[in-house]
Amino acid sequence: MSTTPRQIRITLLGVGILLVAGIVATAAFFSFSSTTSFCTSCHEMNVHKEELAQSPHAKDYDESAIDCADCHLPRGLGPRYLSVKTYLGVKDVFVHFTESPDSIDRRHSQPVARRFVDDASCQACHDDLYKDAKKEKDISEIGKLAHDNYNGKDGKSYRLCVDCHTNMAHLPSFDRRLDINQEFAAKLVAAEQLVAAEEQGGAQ
Amino acid sequence: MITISLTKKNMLLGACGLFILAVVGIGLFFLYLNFAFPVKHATGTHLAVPDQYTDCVTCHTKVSAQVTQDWREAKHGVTLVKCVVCHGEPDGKGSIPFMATPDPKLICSRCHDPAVVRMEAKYGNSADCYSCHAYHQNPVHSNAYETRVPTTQTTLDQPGQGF
Amino acid sequence: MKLSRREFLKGAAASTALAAIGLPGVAAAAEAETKWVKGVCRYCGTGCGVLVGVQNGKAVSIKGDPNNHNQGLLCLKGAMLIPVIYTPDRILEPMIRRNGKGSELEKVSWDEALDFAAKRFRDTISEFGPNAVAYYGSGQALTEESYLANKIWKAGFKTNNVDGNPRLCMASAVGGYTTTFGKDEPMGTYYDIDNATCFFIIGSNTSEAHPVLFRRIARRKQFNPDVKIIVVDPRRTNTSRIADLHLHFKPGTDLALLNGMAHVIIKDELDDYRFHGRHCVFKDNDGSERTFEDYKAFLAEYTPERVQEITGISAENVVKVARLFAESPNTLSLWCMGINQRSYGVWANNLIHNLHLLTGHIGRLGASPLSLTGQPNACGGVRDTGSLSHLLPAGRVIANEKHRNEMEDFWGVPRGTIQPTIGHHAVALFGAMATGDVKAVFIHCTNPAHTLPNLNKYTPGLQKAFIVQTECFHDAETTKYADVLLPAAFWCETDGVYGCTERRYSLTEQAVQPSGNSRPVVNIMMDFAKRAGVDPKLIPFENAADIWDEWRTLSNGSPYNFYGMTRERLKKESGIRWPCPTEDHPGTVLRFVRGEDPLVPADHPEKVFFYGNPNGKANILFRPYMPPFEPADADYPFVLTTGRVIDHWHTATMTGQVPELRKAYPGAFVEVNPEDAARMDIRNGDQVVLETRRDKMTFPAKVTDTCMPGLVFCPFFDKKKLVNRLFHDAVDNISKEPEYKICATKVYKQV
Repeated sequence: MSTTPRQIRITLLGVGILLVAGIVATAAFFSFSSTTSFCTSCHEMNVHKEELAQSPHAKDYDESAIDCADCHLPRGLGPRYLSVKTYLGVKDVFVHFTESPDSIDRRHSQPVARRFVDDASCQACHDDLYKDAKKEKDISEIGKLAHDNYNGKDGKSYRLCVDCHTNMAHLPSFDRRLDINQEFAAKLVAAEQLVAAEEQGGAQ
Repeated sequence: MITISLTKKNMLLGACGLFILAVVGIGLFFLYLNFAFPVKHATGTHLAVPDQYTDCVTCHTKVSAQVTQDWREAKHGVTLVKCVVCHGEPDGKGSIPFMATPDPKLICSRCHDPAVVRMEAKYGNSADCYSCHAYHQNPVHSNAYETRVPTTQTTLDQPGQGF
Repeated sequence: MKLSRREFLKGAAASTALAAIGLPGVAAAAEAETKWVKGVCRYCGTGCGVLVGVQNGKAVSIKGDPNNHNQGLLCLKGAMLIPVIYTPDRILEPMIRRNGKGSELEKVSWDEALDFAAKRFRDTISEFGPNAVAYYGSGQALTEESYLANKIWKAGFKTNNVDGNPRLCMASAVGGYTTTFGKDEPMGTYYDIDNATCFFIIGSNTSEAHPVLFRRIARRKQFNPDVKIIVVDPRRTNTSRIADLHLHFKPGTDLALLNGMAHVIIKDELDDYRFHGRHCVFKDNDGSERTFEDYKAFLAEYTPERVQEITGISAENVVKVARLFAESPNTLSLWCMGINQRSYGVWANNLIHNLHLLTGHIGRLGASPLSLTGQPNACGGVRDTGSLSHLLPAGRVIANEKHRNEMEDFWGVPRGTIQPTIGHHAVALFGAMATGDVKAVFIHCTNPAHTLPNLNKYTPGLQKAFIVQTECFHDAETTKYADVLLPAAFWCETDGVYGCTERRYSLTEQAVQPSGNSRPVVNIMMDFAKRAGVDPKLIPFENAADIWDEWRTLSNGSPYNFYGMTRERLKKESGIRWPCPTEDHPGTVLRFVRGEDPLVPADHPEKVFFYGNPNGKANILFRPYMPPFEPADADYPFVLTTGRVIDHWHTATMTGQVPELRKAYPGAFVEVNPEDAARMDIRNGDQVVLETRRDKMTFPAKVTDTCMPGLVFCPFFDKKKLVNRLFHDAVDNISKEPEYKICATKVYKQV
């Protein structure tokens, strides 16, 4: 059996159409699967959603909601984005079907999540490292020194934003005891108590 | 004019090729991922800070919250044996050399000499105390003393506190 | 992969180890030949035993002495003591100001410096009489030094102007013990901490001022969580971290609380009648004997409700704390400067003793009123040797002719040599320097230009008088005023005895040679005294060991008997507690108790015998509540208090030499309660002005809930900010100790 040029052309065309359709579909799927509503459609993400709602990062400086992807996926559509999107997507699906929400150990997922939070994602809002996100107040003196260091003054630290700024949007129970997280923890506990009270009320 | 005959052999070759391509692709993918998002960041130089901020805890409460908290809650924290006693000064100019992991023979034994001797008699000469004694958080006794609730309560008296 | 917590930590250790530097060199250094020499920590009154590691004649490391009471543990200051010896700020050559104050210090030979100083002393005495010279000593001086100075000045120069900085810290505790028990020094020891079931900690930040003792209390609490710890302090310090009950009250009102507790104890019939009925007498404020019924009547006004009104502690908590104190099997009280540095400090001390005597929490392991000392040798060196202006060695007083004659006979000087009138106490001494009554002073091992209260009033005195100073570190405040600066050998460069809080005497052996041209202070003093005209027969000593032997012999037969502590024995053992009358006596844990204390006859009919008082009984004294000298008012609405931080000791002349400690707290700050701070819009780091009736100063703010609202705290270690300028100089009537802890101040943000 042999192929004719016509057949090749048809094949190429078909492949081309498929490719374009594939890219469009992928892009659509990537875009759709990066929405907060998609992320939180899985049961195991509920806890993260609830934590985010109580966190200082629930809303950005102009009061619009911050999505999962704003922090957890790199900006733009370059290779950084594609690789992380692919990796995390496959990993999440795998974990979703192999583990139950209760068996997920957040001590292990924490470093993975931190690994892929890009500095550029943080600096999309916090572009002035010496002021708060609303650019109203100066940050603390210690903060300024630390950011000097981040910017390469006095010897660079080579650390990412999230290496120092932990528990910005999520607070696993084992981190609640930390002094710096007290405010966040208090809000979470209050919210949980509210939910528990409502559930109890509903049951009666 | 290209002709590709879809023989069994060719299909097998193609499949092999595709497999190799996929493996190489996935390999490259992870290579790139590790390059762009390293698992561990090289530790850089310690912050060169002016004198008034070298009380380690001020910064390390934020940048290594876990370690600082462990210290604070464990015996060394309650009794205020501060970082520099065991770790030295980051610039190496302190009274002991700067050590991220203090040498038990040099550091621990300054206060716990009897215990070090006792442990050595029991378990032999071990260079690593830390395999049993987690150094900041003493796993058995952490929180043993802690009764103080962090508070900003400012009434003159606090009924109901304690007990 | 599931990591166990232990493996996780191990991994973390391995990765952080990569960042460690210099480890191989350190290991090699540790393996070299190290000789360990026994000593006592130079810093606080806890008196921890240390071992100094010496290599090639140089001190290189330090570790805790496992055989002393601290069981090998050290606090952060003690662990970093070695760099202090070799700091560039050491004074290594004798120096004089040839052309008076303000001129440059000039390095001279020992002979020239001593002659210069001695001539001035000789001239002053011949022109203005012996009371124109004085000695101002220290609770950090070695016992031998204080004893020698006491002898040289009182019997040699024939003046009673011998005082020292213990007047600023321990005098009220001395007053408390002597008025209640007849003789000074506590009856308890640190063993009590391991046996107490209730701790009553009042006016003490044990955690920062006596860290190793605090650790012992914490360990007691850890092993037995049923042990109750009550901390009574207007500041919620780190000490309160282990407390079951922290009470803060309006500063200076604790006398009312203590009387209120006694009221509740008697009302609830929690007092031990068998004890106070047999071992105590009730005495009114004027010294007349009263009955238990009179005491009840005296306490009638201190109802919990009234106490709440005065102190701000709720009536409920007053009852609670009184019941805890009385009902617990063994209650141990610990207090320090919060009680002593007060215008009614002696009374406050008496009131604590009252509680123990009422409830019988005394004379058992774990039940005792134990006053903590601030300095390493205030107890042993100054209180016991009587190196204060109204005392003579071993519990004798100048006012008593019999005591004076005993000392004159022992010292081999004619009767009448020792003046019958008492000398100037610390604050008065510097006042007398300003008026010109005292013209030449020998200052040893202390920094009065930094530590005196109401400093602005007393610096003219330092400007006027001729000052000879033996000191180790230059650039302390007082060295700026010194006319003659004599380099003293520091700590383990010489040998001598320190006596700590629990009547324990421990010897510091000489580990290294004195740095530079410095000399042991006993040798300096003897040389100086001989040149200044003191009879050489009075000071026939070669070294500190000779002086120790004389002092030991003198103690024989006194209530301070430690005749059994020979130099050899002190070298072998890590500290012994007196009374210890013979060389085979192990030392005493429970003072005043039959079978324990060798000074209580074995056939004494009572188990407890307070032999300090002639009647063998302790006094329960009627001390009414008195407000502090300068409470907050409408013009000066805040209360200012001062104290230590853990990283620094006293005026930071020593701790300031250690890079770590210096950096941890490079300067003074003011603690402001968040509530007050919010009202005045003060944020962390803002410059805040403290203005009192004496002076005003600016400090960076530290907003924290450590201080209660209305109270601000400022540490006193910083020589750039002499906080003591802000304080008033009112002293306790009995002990003459100034009230450092309370003064009224304005607080506002600097604009």
